[in-house]
Amino acid sequence: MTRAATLVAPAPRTAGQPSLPRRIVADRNGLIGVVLVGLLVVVAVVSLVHLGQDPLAQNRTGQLAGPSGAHWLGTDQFGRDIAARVAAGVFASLRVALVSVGMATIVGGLLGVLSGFAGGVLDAVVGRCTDVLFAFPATLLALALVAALGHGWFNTAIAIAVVYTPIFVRVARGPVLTVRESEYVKAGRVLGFSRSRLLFRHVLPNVGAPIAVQVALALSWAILTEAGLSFLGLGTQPPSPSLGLMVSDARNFFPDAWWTLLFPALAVVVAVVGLNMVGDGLRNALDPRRS
Amino acid sequence: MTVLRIEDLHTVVRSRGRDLPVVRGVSLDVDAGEIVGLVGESGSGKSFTALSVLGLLPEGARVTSGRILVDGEDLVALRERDRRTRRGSTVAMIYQDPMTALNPLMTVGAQIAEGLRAHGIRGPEAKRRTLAAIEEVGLPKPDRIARSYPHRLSGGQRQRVVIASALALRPRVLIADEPTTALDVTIQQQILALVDELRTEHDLAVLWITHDLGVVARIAARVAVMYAGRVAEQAGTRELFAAPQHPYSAALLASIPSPTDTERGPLPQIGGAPPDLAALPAGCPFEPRCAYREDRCATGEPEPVHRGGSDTACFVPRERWGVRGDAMEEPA
Amino acid sequence: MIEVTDLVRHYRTGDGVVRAVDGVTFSVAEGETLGLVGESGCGKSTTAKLLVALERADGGALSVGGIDVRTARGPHLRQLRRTIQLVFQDPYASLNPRRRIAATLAEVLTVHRLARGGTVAGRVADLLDMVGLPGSVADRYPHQLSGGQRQRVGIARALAVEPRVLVLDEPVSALDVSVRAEVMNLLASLRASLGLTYVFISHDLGMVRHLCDRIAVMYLGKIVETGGWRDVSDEPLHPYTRSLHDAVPVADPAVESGRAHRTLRGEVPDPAAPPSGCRFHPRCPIAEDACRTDEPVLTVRGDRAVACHLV
Repeated sequence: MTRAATLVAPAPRTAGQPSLPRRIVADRNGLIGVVLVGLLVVVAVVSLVHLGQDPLAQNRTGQLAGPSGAHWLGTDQFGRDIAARVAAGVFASLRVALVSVGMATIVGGLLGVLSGFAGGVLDAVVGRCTDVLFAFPATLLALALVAALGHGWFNTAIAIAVVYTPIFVRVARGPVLTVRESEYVKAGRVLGFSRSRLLFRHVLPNVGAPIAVQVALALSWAILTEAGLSFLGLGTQPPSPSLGLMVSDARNFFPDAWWTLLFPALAVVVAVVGLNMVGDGLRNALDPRRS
Repeated sequence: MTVLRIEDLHTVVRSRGRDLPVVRGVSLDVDAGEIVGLVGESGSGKSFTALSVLGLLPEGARVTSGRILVDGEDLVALRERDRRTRRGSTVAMIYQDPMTALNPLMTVGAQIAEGLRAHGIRGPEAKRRTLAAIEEVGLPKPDRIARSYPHRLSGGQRQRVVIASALALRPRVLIADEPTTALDVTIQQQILALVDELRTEHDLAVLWITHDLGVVARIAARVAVMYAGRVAEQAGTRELFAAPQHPYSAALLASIPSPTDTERGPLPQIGGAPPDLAALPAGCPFEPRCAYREDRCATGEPEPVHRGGSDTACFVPRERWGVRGDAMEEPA
Repeated sequence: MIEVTDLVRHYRTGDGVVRAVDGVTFSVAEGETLGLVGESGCGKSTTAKLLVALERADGGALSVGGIDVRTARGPHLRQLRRTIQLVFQDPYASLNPRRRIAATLAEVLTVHRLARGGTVAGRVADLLDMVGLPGSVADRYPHQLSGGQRQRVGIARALAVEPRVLVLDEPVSALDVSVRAEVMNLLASLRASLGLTYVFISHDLGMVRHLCDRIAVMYLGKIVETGGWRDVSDEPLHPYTRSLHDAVPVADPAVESGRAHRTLRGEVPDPAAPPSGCRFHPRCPIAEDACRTDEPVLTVRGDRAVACHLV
């Protein structure tokens, strides 16, 4: 269809395009993704107000009980409410993911834009540093960093941020190089626009799209990594609820108590799939050829 | 002898939930050994006409009616498998950008041989014919060229390779989609001369798509001028350039600066823009921009009539154009 | 208005040094239009970039409106920007796709403090009117305009700084045939009404012949022939200009069939390794021994100049 689209002149439209959220939701994948992620956000927010059950409250008499009216998703080996723990775990996952990806986006994006726009020595130095970080397998690097930094959700977030920063450097730098060489930036130079005007008014707005897509994909990867680190006992520490830890514990009980494994695992799957679909929707919504 | 005959071809493109008519009843004949120029601006339907002939329409586009006959066989009625075997062996194509038509990771010789193999020619025979094809398009040292990768060749050499590959299976029809637009004029001249030579030698029927009326004047025996999915006028090249019978062809020709002008006044311009294919006017598609329009032009779409040595889809004969005084809208 | 003396621009590439512009000399008087003609790799586009200081020359002298382009910095550079402007070949690529036309034009005005506050909109409307566009175009995005309209916007943007010189880099090559006449007419009428000086770069001899007062033909980084528009286009002297003249198809079958189609052999050599002597000699139909060893210089013949030993 792209060929047809270029051969047939677009009908002139006076109105601007629909807003970005509308275009994401108009995409089928985007819509499903937004619904899934929205569901998790609601769950995470609910966990903050402790509706009904305390995720840490143990119950010696109701251990490993199946789903019931009192405990919708059953209880674990200490009789704790799984629904409350999954909700708190989702909150913990999202917190690590948002903080880590936030740091990676700001630091990586800035470095990428600056090195792409400035070129020269800065570009070379930043380029070599990202190459070095890329040389390590991502999960191993995160593992090593957490081992070095110590436990706790913030250290986990830093470790994931470090792993993801070079990816944002590359994602930001590529389009900057393209836009920098574009004719409209050249036209701006001939018209006497300053470098900062060209960078902020002309280059940056055209780099936002790939970065936004990468943010959604990075969030899903961060949730997976956080869960993985917790699973290995390197992330969130007991008794704090964590999806990875819950899955890890459930390995011992799941033949008899499937709910201990299913619900935390399902939460991870929903988060990863949902964020990936949001990423797809964003990519389609931001693709000028589809608008 | 007519080799390629297009009869009342209609092609649509699916866009925003509706079918956009991009080719609206095109009829065209190309004889053996003849070059017919297919002229039009972007959106005129010339490329969709060519892609319909090849059966290589993009996703969402389809032929809705009409026949495309090559040596009497209707390609539109064929199943996709049979269609594929005709491609290359019966109908071949050369493109505007030879680089995108060649695989950068394969040697030139391997690519030509691959085309032969797809039609059952293998081994030493394939090799012999590959080298012969390269030699035929005037490239020196065919065996060295055959071992080269496309990026080692110049733009002109690449286009020659694409032509060699297209003609290796001795097709009856060659579709040339602006194959010289991306080339420098001296290289364009070489390619034009080459195709001209090859079509005489092999009695090829060539449909040459271009927006360059100069190229048409140089190589085409006949011309079809397309506008808004229809053939506005079809005639012998000399007839059309000497006395265009359709106001659109006349306006196009007039807008090109003449190489013999001594006074350089403003160029006659057409004004306006081609119609939106999603909202075609009820009458002649050129009527809103036409300097010679009459009342009936706004209500009925003219069918081609034979007039002044040309088939023209216009109600108003050339003799009546003078009534309006100036040939074209004069620029402000 | 423009003085170019022995201009040089070399690029370092993996294959060596590419001599894109290699000793070019020309001048353009105020109100005059010079056509720069040649094939890819001849250096005409590089010359355009040097003229508007998009790139800096490696040698020679270059002044526009009395400003030394090679050393211009700070206020001099600003003055240069307001003296000479560039119109690009592809109007779509040269307009920021995310900005409305009004914003694109207003930005130029505010950066150069040519209008402020309430006067900006009025000036934008003036500019659009000047290039024959309705005021409603101001609210459109580039993708909502036709090719011809976009190129008019490109011209309006260049005119926003009220320049005295426009460098036109293939301004109609990307446009449909029927739109080219409109843009050519617009350029001619703007030249007359604003007293502009043009450098018109094109490979289309017909368009160059239509708009230019003088024509300079370039080959592999050098000017091989220059002179009045009718002399160069109708009675070319240099064998390359003659080949170019023969190669360009004319939209007239009667002319075409009467022409001797002497096809120029070979292709433009690698500019990183130009031929010895006259750079055209490997393709030249009349080359002699001297052409292979001695490089001809541009020699004045009456009111034109040619770089060839044999004419």
